[in-house]
Amino acid sequence: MNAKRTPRIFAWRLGLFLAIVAVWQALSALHGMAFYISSPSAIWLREGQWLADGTLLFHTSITVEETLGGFVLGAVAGVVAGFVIGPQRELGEVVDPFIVAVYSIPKVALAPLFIVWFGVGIWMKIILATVTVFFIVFFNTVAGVRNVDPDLINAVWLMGASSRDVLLKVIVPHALSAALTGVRISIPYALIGAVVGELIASNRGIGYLISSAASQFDTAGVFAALIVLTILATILNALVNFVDRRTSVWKVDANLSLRPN
Amino acid sequence: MEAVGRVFFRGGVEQVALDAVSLDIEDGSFVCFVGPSGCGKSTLLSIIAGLIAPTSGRVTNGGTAVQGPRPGVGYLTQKDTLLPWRDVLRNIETPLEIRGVAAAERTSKARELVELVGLRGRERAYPRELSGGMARRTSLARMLVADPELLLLDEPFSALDAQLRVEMQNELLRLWGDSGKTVVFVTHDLDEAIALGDRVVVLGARGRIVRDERIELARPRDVVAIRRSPEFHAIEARLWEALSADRYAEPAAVS
Repeated sequence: MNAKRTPRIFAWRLGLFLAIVAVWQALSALHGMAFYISSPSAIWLREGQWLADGTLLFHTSITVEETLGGFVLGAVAGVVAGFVIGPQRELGEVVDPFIVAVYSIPKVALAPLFIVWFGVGIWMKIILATVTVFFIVFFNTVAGVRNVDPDLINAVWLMGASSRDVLLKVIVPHALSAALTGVRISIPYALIGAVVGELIASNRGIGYLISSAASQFDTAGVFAALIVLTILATILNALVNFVDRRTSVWKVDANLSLRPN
Repeated sequence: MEAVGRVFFRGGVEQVALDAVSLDIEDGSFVCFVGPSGCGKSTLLSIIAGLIAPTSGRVTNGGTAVQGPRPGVGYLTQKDTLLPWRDVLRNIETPLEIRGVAAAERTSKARELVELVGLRGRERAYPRELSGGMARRTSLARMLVADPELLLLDEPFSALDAQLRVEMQNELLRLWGDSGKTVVFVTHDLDEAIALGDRVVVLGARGRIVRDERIELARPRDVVAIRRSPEFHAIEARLWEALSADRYAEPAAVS
């Protein structure tokens, strides 16, 4: 069934895409419309020009660097903090309101403060992405440490396990598996953190490309940059799906997947 | 259990889950506990396993008091408790790992068990990829790998469909065969208890033994064929009567 349907769905998608492009191109020919919506042909030309003069590669690589930097720092900090705070219920209860308070702040609102602390360079974006990723991974790891099925612990306990066995064979693998769920979810959010940082203050990166084109009323440039961003996000999502397929067989459900706001 | 295993329990565990239950379980026998939900069957099993302590009375095993989980006991619950991040083989190896058995030896032992329960070809599958029956077989193999002398089974097949349940019951009888292992099997299914056990202990609604009957049916048994024999029906009728008598006595005792 699927094998027959896939090519048909693919054909429909291609058709829809071509229809959108054709309508867009036609509308842009109307008087004055090109200013607002540019046109597929103009955007195509702009992409070609950026590709030729290195603009595309330069700004994309900056954004990728910030995204990956923030992702790695946030994921590592989230797993470590989750493993430290997770097992200590009392410490957890004490710090819980503080963590939730910081988590509740829209991350964009932190950007001006990060500019004061880290300047307008690449680090401000990396830290913004880090903070976004951190909370997702942290909450998942804590949930993984705490929500281990007591029946699993009992089963291992009945085999004559020591506390150390229970920790190493049940709690740690369960928490790591839950942490991985957080890590997986957080990949696209690292991109959001980086681009938001670029939009607010920057002279490089895809976010900068968008805001600088818009400030010059260069609609073709805005669309060209948005398309690059879409492609980058799609690649990251494909990466997420790949990781998901490789791990879903043994991954546990942490019953918690908080999304950043 | 050594020469004679003795399970002795007296007193109530919170809201009297069990009330002054005392009995001996002989080595190598297959004993079934049967009774309605909430009669304390599972509690009794947990106490024998050493997972929870009795509020009064005691459980002894080969002359020594049971004080906690101990080696030589295998425990199987209704729910599968396989570790989701380990494949079939590694799950079966777990009890040996905990005992500190060397890697090569535990793998070869686990492979033997894979053969025994008919899981060949599925060694590298994760629990999430297994059907209900295969997961049960893995759990059974994991319990048997450490070669326990006492098997505690808590409604192990009640979540399976009728056909698979019969298959697993026969499988269990085959594995138990002449292994000399002692089996304590808890169920709410009277037919299952009679078909499997050497002895059926009927627990009443208030955690008391209402009947303790030896099942003199020939072995080896086939759980389907045995259900058609007249002896089976006679036993079933007697035990059913004991169960219902207890049930009708209940309201008077409560009020």
